[in-house]
Amino acid sequence: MTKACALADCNVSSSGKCHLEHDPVETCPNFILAKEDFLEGGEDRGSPEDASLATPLDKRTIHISPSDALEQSDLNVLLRSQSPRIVALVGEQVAGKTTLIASLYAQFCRGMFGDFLFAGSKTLIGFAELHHLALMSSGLSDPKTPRTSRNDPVAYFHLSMRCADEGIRNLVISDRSGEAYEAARTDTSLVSEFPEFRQADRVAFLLDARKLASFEFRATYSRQFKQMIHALRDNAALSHSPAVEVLTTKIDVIEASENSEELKAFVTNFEQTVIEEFRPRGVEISCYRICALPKAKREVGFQGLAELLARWTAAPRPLQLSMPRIDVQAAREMDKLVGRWDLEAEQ
Amino acid sequence: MRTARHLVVGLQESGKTTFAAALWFLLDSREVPTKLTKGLHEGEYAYIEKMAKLWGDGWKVERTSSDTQERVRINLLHEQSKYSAALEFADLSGESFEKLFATRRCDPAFLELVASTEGVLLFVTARRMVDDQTILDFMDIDTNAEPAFPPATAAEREPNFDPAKVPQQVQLVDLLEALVVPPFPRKPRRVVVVVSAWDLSRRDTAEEWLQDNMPLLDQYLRANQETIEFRVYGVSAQGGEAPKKDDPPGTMRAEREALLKAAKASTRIRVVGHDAWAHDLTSPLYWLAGLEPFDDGK
Repeated sequence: MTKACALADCNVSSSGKCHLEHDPVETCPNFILAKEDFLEGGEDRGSPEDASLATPLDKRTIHISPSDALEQSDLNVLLRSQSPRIVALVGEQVAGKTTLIASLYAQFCRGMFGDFLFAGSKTLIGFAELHHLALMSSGLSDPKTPRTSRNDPVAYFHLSMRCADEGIRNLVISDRSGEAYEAARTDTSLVSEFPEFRQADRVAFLLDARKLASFEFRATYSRQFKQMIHALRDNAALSHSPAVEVLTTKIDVIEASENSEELKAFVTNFEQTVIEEFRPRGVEISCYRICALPKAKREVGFQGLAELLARWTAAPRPLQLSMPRIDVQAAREMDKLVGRWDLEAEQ
Repeated sequence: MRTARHLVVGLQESGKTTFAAALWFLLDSREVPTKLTKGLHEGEYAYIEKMAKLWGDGWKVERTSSDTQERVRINLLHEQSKYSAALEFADLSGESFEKLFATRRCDPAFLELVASTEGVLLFVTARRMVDDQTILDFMDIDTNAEPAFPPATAAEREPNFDPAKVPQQVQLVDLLEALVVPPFPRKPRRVVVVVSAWDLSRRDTAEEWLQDNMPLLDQYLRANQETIEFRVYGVSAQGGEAPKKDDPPGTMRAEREALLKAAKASTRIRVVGHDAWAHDLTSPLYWLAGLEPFDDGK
C-alpha cells in the first residue's frame, strides 16, 4: 500500500512528508492508503473513480484508549469504576485555572511531588497539550498556557497518585473557560448548565493576585469576585456542601511588587472579608495562596502546590448520622428485629 | 511445550536493534555463559543475521531505508527447566509506537501480539536528547541581569500542539498505561526497563538513571509495582562507539579497533543491575521470564 493524500498539492506519496506538516503523516485528516496501481501508473492505471478503492487508515486499525481531557460523558463512565475526589476550578479569564492544572502535571514530570508518586492518568495527552507552550521545544521565549475557549465544554483532567504508606488516590479537576463563568455571574440561569458543580467535592475560586495588585482594577475585580460566589451559591451550585476555598494565584506578582507588603495586607484583609461575608450564608470558606508559574519573580518558585494536592485528595469528613433508637416493643416485626440488633450490638 | 512471549517496545533510536543484533551474536557464538541459550529457530532470519554481522564486525547497527522487515523474533531456552521464550521485536524502528501515541490506533496484529505477551522489555537510552526542559528552567533568576531570552512580543506565534514533541517519558508512560486497559485483554506481569548505551550514563545504577532522567516513568513503575513488577537494567550492547559501515574509510578508526580487539566479541557487552551476569544480555530476560527460583548462584 502507498501513502497518499486527498489534497492535490501534497507530495506525501513521493516525499513521505505531509504538506500540512502533520507528523506522523498518518495523523493528517487527509491521509489515505491507496493501491499502488492507481497512483504509480502501473499496468492497471485505473480511473479517478477508483479513488473508492483507497482504504482509509482508520478502517484497518483498532482504537486504543484515548488520553485527551475527559468530557462530561467520559467522567460519568470513570465514576462507575473509581471514586476520585473532584475539584471544580472557578475563575475569570487568565485567573490561572489552566496554568494550575498544567503545573501540577509538570511537577510530577520532574519527580515525586509532596508525598505523592505519580501512578497514572487517563488524560496524559490532555495534560501534555496544556503544558506544551511551557517547554523549550515550543520555540517560545515566554512560557504560556493555551487559552480555554468559551465554546469548549467543561474538560476534566485526571491524576492517579500513590501517597506514601497509603493507597491510590484519584483526583479529577475541571477546567472551563473564564468567559463562561463571567457570563454566568450576570446571567445566573447559566449556572444550571455547569455539571462540574453537582459532582464536586471541592470548589476552588481562583483569586488573581495580578488584578488585586492593580489599583485600577482592584475595586471592580474584588466586587465581581464575591459576586461570582454569590451567583453560584444562590443558584444551588454549592447546595450539596462541597468544601469551598479561595486560592490566591500568582503570588509571585505580589512578591515582585514594590508595594508587596501593602498588597499582602490587602489580600489578607480581602480573604477575611470573603470568609465573613459567606459564613452567615452557610458557606465556610478556607483561603490559600499559590504560585503555579513563577514568572514575575523566579525565586518565589512553585508555592503551595504540594499542600494543595494533599488537601484536595484528603478523605472527606465522615458524615455524622444520628439514628433514632428503635422501640423493641414496637408493633411491626421489622422494627422489633432492628431493635434486637441494636441491643445485641450494645451488649 | 508452551513458549512464553515477551514483547520488546521502545521509541525510535532507543537501542532495540543493537540489542537484538548483539543478543543474536551472543547466543549464536556461545563465547560466554548465559542464563538463557539459543532456542529452536525455523524460517527466515536473514535480517537479524545481517544485523548481527554488522555488530560482530564493529560497525554501528542501524537499519537502512531499504530495510522493510520490522518484526524479529529471537527464541530462548532455559536448559534446566526447558522453559522456552520468544522475544518479539514487534517494531524495531520504534515508529509504530510513536504513531500509536499520536493517532491512538494500532494494527490488529499488534493487538494480537500484546494479547499473547507475558512480559515487556521497554527500551530507553542514555544517549537521549533532553526533551522536557521548560522555558522557566532557562529564565534568569537574577532580576537585575539581562533576561536569557528577549521578552515575548505579542506577535510571537504559538505553535499547535504536536504529539511528536511530547517528552519521551510521557509517551512511554502513556504506552504502558494503554497496554493494561482495553482493547488489550491482559496486563503484562513484569516489565524490564533497559537503559541502553549504558556506557554513556553518569549514574551508578540504572534505577538512579531512570529516576533522574525519566522521573515520570520511574514514579509510574514504582507506584504500580503491586500489579506489575519491574526491574531496571543498564545495557551497553555495542560496547562503545562504532562508525557506520558506509562512513568514509577511517572514520572512528580507533573506536572500531578498540571494539575489535576484544578476544571474545561477546565481552564487549555490558549488563548492570540486580544479579545480571556481566556480559549476559539474557539476564534481564531470565528475570522477565520468572526463572529466579532456578538461580544456581553462578
